[in-house]
Amino acid sequence: MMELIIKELSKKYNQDKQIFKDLNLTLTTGVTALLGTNGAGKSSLMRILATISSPSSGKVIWNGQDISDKPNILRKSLGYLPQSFGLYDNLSAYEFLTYLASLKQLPANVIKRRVFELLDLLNLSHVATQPLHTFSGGMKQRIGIAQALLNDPELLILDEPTVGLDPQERANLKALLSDISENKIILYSTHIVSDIASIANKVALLNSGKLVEFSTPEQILNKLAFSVWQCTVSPMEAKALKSQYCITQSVKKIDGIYLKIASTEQPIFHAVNVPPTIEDAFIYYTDSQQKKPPTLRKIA
Amino acid sequence: MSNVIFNTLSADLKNRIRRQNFMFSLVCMSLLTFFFFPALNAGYQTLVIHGYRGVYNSAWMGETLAMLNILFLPAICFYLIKNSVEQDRSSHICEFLASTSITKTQYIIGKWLSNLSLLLIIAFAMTVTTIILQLYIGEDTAIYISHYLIPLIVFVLPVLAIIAASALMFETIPGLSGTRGNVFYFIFWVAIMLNTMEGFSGVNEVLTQMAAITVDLDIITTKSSVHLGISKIEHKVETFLWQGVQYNLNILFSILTCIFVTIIFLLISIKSFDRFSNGFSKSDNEKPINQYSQNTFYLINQLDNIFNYITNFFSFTRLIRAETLLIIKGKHLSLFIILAILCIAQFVADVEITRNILVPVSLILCISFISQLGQREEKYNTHLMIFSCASPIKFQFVSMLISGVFILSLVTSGAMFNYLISANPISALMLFIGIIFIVSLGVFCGVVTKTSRTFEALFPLLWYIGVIKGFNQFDFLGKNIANIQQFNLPIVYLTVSSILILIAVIVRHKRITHF
Repeated sequence: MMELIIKELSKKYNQDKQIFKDLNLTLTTGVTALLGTNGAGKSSLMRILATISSPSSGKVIWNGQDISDKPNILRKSLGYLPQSFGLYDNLSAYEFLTYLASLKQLPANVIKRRVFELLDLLNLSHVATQPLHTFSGGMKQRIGIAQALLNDPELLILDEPTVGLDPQERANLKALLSDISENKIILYSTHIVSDIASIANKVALLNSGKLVEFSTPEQILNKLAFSVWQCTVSPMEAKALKSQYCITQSVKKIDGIYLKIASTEQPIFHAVNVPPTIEDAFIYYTDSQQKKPPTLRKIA
Repeated sequence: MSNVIFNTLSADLKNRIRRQNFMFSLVCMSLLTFFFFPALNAGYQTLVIHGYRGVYNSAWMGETLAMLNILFLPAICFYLIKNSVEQDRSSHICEFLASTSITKTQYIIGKWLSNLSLLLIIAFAMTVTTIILQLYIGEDTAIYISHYLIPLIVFVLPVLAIIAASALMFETIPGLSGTRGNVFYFIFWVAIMLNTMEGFSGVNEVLTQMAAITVDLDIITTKSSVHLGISKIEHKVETFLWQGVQYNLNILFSILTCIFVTIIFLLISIKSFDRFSNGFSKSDNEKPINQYSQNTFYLINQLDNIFNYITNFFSFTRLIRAETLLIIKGKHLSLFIILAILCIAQFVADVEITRNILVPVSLILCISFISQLGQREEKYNTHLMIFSCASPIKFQFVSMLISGVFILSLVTSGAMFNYLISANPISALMLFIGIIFIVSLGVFCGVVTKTSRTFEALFPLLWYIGVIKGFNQFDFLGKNIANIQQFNLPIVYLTVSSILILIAVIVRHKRITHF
């Protein structure tokens, strides 16, 4: 059985900037969603797993072998989509993928078939021979996804794969990931929390460089059961509640301000208990500091 | 208005001097200063008046540095600074800028001041190096700072102002912003600036005064001439004492001329600047090919089919094919036609014409092929995808090197065959070693500095000194057969190439694992 073990992994930049510390995580087949606020260390962790960054300490063990000394063991089974990437504009989609397939050392008789399969799968076969500079942002993103899948990887790391995709393409990608996840380890980071419930087998939640939660979406929701409340209050009451509780949603309505609050106790007498969502859980786990809402002063 | 210009200057300057390649440029330029002041028996001199040179005191070294800077900085520094507008485009900052109220004039003047400040930092670093050099050589250890600073302000600063403005002019005029513009500028420098710069920058006035002193000292020998630049001097040169230039109206007129030229260049830049209305696309001549060159696609596809058949047996040869196509893709069909004609001409022409004209021209035309090596992955932001593939150095890096050598060998294959059939195997060998050196230098510059401009600046200079002038150790293509044996050029250039590749591998390896 495939297994990726992250053992006491730490990453530090410039001696004093700790990205994450003593991270322990075991990934098995299926989709693991990696959630966290901006700067939580998701991309840094993914880069280490993709062997293009070294950890400050700790180990990454792929199927029983430490990859720090022999990264090629993992690279042969790896598909990686970085958060931010570019393409060679002068090449066509087919040529670019063929180039990456050559780099991944795919056999000659496989390259052409595999490239066309992926172009077809990602709805790009009609533009296969067009130069990449003519592509839209979403099409370029799909080329990035295609290159990650070229070598039919056992470990697929996707850093924000849904950026720039329209709802239809997002749905297609989710379906594709569900289809291929049976015999792969897929690590998937996203800010679109609602996507997770439908495709992730497990959710890893990072906050300020620490793993605060690692369980199935159902388990996470169960932990928050009877802890999410909704109410409509006056602006004054809203201000007071915001300074005391973790607000997961705030909407201005005609009759006042609608609030969704994550709290183990009833925040206000007329607040009604509602079923939690992954988004509530994300905000609850990452907003434990209860920061005051920022204010914007007018320019003099 | 002044606040906007100052903030443009400040942000741009900070952004550029904090880059790793600026420090690299600063170190290189400081090292270059050492070559400006050779020993008496070094075999070459940079300023010789009637067979004499001045004692290395502050006056001589300060003014010689100024004159050599005027001669060489336009060629080198232009490439160092010619990216300020392009940088704003590629980083997409242009979208923020275009949506503000900044005017074209404010933007261009801010950028010009930033360019000028950057060049002044370089010139200042070279001055500091020269002062240290004066103390180290010890012909005269009395340091007069004014002898260094006044020539820097009077002679060099006005020329730097022109370079700063011309870099902007080349960036803003459509069609001149990419590699084509870089090559055009170099030709412009060789053909026009080298000959006229001495006249309008005040150098001639200094040289006239120096020559007059040597006449007064009655030290004229039969070698009655003035040489500024690198000149081969076989014998040991004598020295005379130079006390410094007398500033007069001729020099003031030179400064005013430079200011006038700068203003003209700035006005042209302001006029041609599109204020990013064309978005953040790359420079015109590097725009990806679309409909207008379908012939290129057809031709490349046909060649690709043949190449495909030959290279399809091993994954490594397939990768070389892919790398080769990546290098040549996007170039205009006319370039390939010219290179093909030159290649045939190399074969049929006289060996000397091939060696002195056709091969140098072919190689300088290939500058855009080689300058992209080593930095393309980061320029196009594909590095994370490529470096996460198995054995990126063993496969991608090596195949990139081989593709570069393959392309240059193909371009000069006519000369290779010509040398071989006319019983010049040494020339054929030297040409091949020269190609390896060019590719190694390209990869080294690309990997270490992460920009194509380093190679685009360095290679034309080496090409001019080594390939056109065939100067001693710099004769990397073996233009002068005597140099090959005298300086052991094959061994020297194979060693230098190996060192360059080794450093590039170390830097690339470090970068792969330290993102």
